[in-house]
Amino acid sequence: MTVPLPKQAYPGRILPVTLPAGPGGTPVTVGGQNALSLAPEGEKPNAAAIGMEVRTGGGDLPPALAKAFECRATDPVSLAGACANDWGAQFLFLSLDGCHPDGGGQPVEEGARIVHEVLAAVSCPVIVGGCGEEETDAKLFPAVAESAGRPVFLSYADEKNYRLVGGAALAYGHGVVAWSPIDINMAKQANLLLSDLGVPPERILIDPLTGGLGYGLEYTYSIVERIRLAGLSGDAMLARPVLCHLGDAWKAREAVDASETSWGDAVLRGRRWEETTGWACLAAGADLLVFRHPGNVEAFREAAWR
Amino acid sequence: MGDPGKGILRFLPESASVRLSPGDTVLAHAIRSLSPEDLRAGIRLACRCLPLEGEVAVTVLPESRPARLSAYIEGKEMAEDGPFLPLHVVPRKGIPLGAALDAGTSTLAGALIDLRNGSVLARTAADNPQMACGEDLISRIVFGEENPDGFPLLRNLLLTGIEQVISGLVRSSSVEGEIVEVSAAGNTVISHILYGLSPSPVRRPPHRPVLKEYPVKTGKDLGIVSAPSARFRIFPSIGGFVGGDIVSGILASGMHREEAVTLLYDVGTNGEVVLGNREFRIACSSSAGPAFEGGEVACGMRAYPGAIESVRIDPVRLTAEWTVIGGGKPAGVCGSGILDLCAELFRAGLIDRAGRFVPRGRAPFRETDRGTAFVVVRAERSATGADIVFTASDLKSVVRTKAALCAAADALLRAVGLPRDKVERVCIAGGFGNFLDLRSAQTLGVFPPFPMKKFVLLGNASLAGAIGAIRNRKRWEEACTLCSSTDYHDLSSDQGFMELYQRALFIPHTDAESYRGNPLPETAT
Repeated sequence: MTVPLPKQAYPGRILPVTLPAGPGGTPVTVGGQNALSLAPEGEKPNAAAIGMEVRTGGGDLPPALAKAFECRATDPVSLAGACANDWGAQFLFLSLDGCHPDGGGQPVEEGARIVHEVLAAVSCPVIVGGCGEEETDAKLFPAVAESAGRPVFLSYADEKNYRLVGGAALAYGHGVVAWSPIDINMAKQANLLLSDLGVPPERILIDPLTGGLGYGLEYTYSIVERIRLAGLSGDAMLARPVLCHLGDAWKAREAVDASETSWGDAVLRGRRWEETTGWACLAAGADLLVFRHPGNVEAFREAAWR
Repeated sequence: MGDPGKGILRFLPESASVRLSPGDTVLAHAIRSLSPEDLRAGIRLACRCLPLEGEVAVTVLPESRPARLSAYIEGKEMAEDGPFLPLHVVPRKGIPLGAALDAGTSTLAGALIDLRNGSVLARTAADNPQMACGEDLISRIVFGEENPDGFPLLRNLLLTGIEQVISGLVRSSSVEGEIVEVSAAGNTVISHILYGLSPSPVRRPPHRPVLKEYPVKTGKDLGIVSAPSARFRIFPSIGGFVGGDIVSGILASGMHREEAVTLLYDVGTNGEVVLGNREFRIACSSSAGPAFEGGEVACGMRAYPGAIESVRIDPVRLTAEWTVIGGGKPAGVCGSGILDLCAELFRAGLIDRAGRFVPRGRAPFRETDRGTAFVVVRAERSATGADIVFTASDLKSVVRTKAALCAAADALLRAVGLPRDKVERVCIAGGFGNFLDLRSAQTLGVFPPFPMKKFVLLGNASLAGAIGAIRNRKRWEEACTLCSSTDYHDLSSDQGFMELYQRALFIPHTDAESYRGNPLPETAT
């Protein structure tokens, strides 16, 4: 006698979102599923997309990244090319942290120019992140939105700056990443605010803030899962693809500190720290993962869970 | 305070502004509620001034006129027909009278009752003189602890206020008689102070009062000169922050006698919520803050003449139109006006769902030292001669207040595992409750999304309950059992409350679908 496995059917479905590519590139479509990521049931038309982050600011690289990037580290355009063409990133996350007053203080025009050059150099979809400093970002987003030659996603919009980012995205046809600080209610609020502004739902991604392993990852796991369950249960504002940016894994001392020899090789340790964080996010239900280490992109693209 | 022989400064209503000269001293924290223009003009809050030396000339500004008493004394009363309280003290002359008191944080209200037939002979209200020692209960406890003789002073101030109410009642009554029974409903702190106990334990965890039930004392024991032989029945408390005023409110709502589940809101300085029926009752204090009493809001004032009580925003010109209590030029905005103002700003698309201003078109916004502000009334049309503005920080405190009120009810429902649709009646008590525009309240999401027809406005339910207890002995006995049969739910230790609060920190609510019946804002263009 065969016992049928119980199957959970949800009333909702995650909205498919397409990140547009440049000429000759492959657009990335995520979402569209009607079940949890590890569950055997349901339809999962799109696998999670694996992207890489490129930063414009200088600063010291963790040992693991310094080894992987070699000489490309200082030039964001050539690093972007390597990510997309050599290392297999399906999309790029370009962080303009070089414009932060504490991170180099590049003028806004310089940030917009780098965006323009990167977009010309790669054909894959691109998400452009601000520098994180409110006043600079207020000038940066409109400048980027205007100078970007093709549609990108702008990251990020929260309840404070959503008018600015959402407005810039609407004016030039870009998408928006809606950010909230590991809080399901604030995630929904950010989406409601963007919807009120008129940003179409198929141009919004949810960034629930990803804590690194040992630095809040379990909170992120729980919130990603709850966002997904709410979306599948019919809450349209949360039925959207989730982006997990693994940059916080590189803020952990365990990932970067080479002085602690008893912890093992810092080069391997850093990569593993990011990888472990990534697996947890994928299991929780993330649709887009942003890595910094090229080796992890390869590992995750091969896994390709559906 | 100060030397009564020298100081001629008298206690004035909370929002009374006075001009002082010379030697005026103002406590620093009181300055926030006055605008810089006021301060430059030498205007100070009378309740916060101490005359240090010499004589002080006091001018009461026109906007600080007598109170709109009805806001604080009207309440729906239960029809009762005895048996009346037993008359332990036979009056020496005249007919036996009873007094019902509502000792609120900011207002003392009273009613005089003819004990022969239960009819209400007179009503009056006065400001609680303790306002001089702090607007909220915690700051009054702090005042009592930090000043030598602080608590005796607080008690004397309260007694002065009660004397004033009782003598006012007797004066305005056409019937000669003697007060033999008094029922007093007040929060735990005020009840403790009246009874001569220290309310300090209420301030500290686990927030338990010294006494929950107060044995009957006579007016002479308590030191009330105008009714020395009256027996004072102080309503028992449920917990540190859910006091006798709520017990009295439950009594007035009648929820403890009915099968139907009732939600009772007391929208006052604190905002207490009770859920229950005759089988069970659970109460909590939401610490909502006094934004709907006109507190914590720069342009806020109590519901006195000169206060804006309702507001409409012209959808085209985006300017405010208003009605003023008593007519004339406005001096500030009272609770119902603040609620209307926020709801109308939201409908006009000048506030977003996150509770932030969205300046657009020719809407009259301007920058102030308290952030962006919406100009409700221009200087030339206001009684104060300065713009009446509603600032970004005022908006924040209104949103926090409404979130706390909404989340408190949801927390109680969750604690007992009842869905919202099992609530059959939502009673709103408190002075604000009389004039509240329910449509505005639901636009902002002050209460969970109950259908309009379930709402009942009770007015001053605390006074109504106290009147009921004077009129009917059975009601008083019910009140005595309510304190032990009503559960106190501590929101500060409720794990899920912060999440409910975060959900409610949005207009109307993060769970926007439940509020779908509410009017949506006109989209900003």
